[in-house]
Amino acid sequence: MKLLRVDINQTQVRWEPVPAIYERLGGRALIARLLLEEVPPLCDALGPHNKLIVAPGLLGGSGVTTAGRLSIGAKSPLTGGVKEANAGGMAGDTLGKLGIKAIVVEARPIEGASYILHVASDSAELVPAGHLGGLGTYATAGRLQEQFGPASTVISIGQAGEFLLTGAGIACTGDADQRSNIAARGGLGAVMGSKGLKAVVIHSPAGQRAELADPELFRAAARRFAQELINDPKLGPQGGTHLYGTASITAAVNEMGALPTRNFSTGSFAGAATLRGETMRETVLARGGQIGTRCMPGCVIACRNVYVDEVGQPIVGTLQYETIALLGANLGLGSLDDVARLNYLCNDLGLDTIEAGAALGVACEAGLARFGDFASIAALLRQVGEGTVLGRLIGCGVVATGRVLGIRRVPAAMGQAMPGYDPRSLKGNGVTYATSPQGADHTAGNAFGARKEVNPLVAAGQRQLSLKLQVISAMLDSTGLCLFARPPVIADPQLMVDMINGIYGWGWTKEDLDRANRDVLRSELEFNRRAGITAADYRIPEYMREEPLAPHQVTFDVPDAELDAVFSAL
Amino acid sequence: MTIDVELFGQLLPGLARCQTLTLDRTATVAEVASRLGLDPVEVGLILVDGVQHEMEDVVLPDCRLCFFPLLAGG
Repeated sequence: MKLLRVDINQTQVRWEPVPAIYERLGGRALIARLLLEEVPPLCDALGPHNKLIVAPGLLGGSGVTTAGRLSIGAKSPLTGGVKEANAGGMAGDTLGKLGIKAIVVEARPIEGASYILHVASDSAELVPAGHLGGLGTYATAGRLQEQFGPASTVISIGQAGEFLLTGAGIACTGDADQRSNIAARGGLGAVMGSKGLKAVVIHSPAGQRAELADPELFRAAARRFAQELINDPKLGPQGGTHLYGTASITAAVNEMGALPTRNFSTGSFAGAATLRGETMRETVLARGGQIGTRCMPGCVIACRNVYVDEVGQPIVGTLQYETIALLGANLGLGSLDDVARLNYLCNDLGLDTIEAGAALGVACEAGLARFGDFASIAALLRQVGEGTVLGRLIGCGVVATGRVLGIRRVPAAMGQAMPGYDPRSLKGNGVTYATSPQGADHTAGNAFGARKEVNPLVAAGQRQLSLKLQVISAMLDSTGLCLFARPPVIADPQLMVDMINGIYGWGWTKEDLDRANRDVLRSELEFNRRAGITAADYRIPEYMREEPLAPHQVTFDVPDAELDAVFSAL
Repeated sequence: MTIDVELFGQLLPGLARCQTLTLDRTATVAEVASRLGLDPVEVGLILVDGVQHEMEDVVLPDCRLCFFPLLAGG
């Protein structure tokens, strides 16, 4: 495999062999190590010394089902620490097939310059992108696929990234005409904007695929992995994730009292019935939309949807749980149509729906918009693209918004907005938010699926649970596996080992895999330590320890000593 | 005594989603599930007034009992 280095200042591209220290790393693991080796931890995240890293996971391009996620990373301008965000779509698979371990974008551009990076199998070039300035991600992807061919994969930023807003994400195109798979978290869109990089276009790798060291071993493991996903009652053709998408959990989270509602002021929403996955499925099918579509070709789970309006015209694809929680219940909105329209707007602006939803919730509490009033909320969100001061504030995320508007209830940890689980009612997620080197991020170790293992309402046992989940997440994010596809490899890690050995011939054992997963966290924690991040930055906000959350009247009561001890067993 | 029961997701698609059940005597969650015709294997989460319960737990008068299918965490 090879590494593509892009010097955006000199407008030069350079292919190089993968350095030995990066050889056995992919996705999040590669990002963590590369940041530690090459990026000064105290650097300005939007300055010349930060690097934007685009990397498929270890399984990328191999054809393993549900394993083509793309990791994007840098020092985060939102948290000040390490950041990896990943997205579905075609890019992870495409880069893997082209044999590209990572694209590393370095330096700062000449003032005002904007580029497209066009990548093919053995060539890459930077071309001017001035004609795309100010466009949203949908139009950007559309124009670039017209220019470079409909089979090209496009990774792009919208206005939020161009404005260097710290809530900006990066959009990746997917199967067919899909335009919105977002590596959303941590302000990576702003880092891409700071490099003057409007888009990366990857040439279709038709006919190419990853080389296999042991085809027989690989195919047997990959086949078994796919079959086990199909057989899983949660994930297979009759499973809730396929039938209702990620929104299948909306009702359960609401009933558990953990659904962020009206700026995290209560844990259950009276209008939740109309936000459920069941309602979404009925609505979409009745209107002629699509359920059970895929972001990656060959995914056997197929959890996506195309949400359409009353006359069957697509509003957004796909509508997901976190977005429903943050742009729905958290804003007092009980209409999926409203949520879908806000979702489209965020996607087009290239904005993280979690960060935006949390910032808008704080803005509602401050009286700049009204909970439950779509028009006032949408008007505020549109200002992000217009570049007004208020719009830029919302686009910079929940902490900036809360500080400027004088709101004390700011649902964030390490500068990043909390996703769709209030940590007072799902304490395992609270421990993850308060300890993950990624900041408040459910994908870093989501305890919702482990609710039978540890009671979500009690403090005991959450430390151990969170660490276990964080190690698993490090594996998923480093291999390119969708987090929904984790059950077979958790039940039998040898399955993952066999797939990796089948591709690379490394002769790994389960112990090697476990060590590699833990090393990801060690590298990230070390980068954050060098970046000056302390326990105080990781903490859950004070009000969540003091204000009981209805309906269970619980606070976040996991002691600080427990949080500080999470990684003692790493 | 009466209890409110709600079914979610793909559980028993032919049955009313919300109903009030009258019980002659104290009952366990499993007995309520059996009366509805629910296969315990298909139930992934049981909440009584928002708190996680198990099949062998006893339900109390006027409670709200929710049955969810197996769910994957996001």
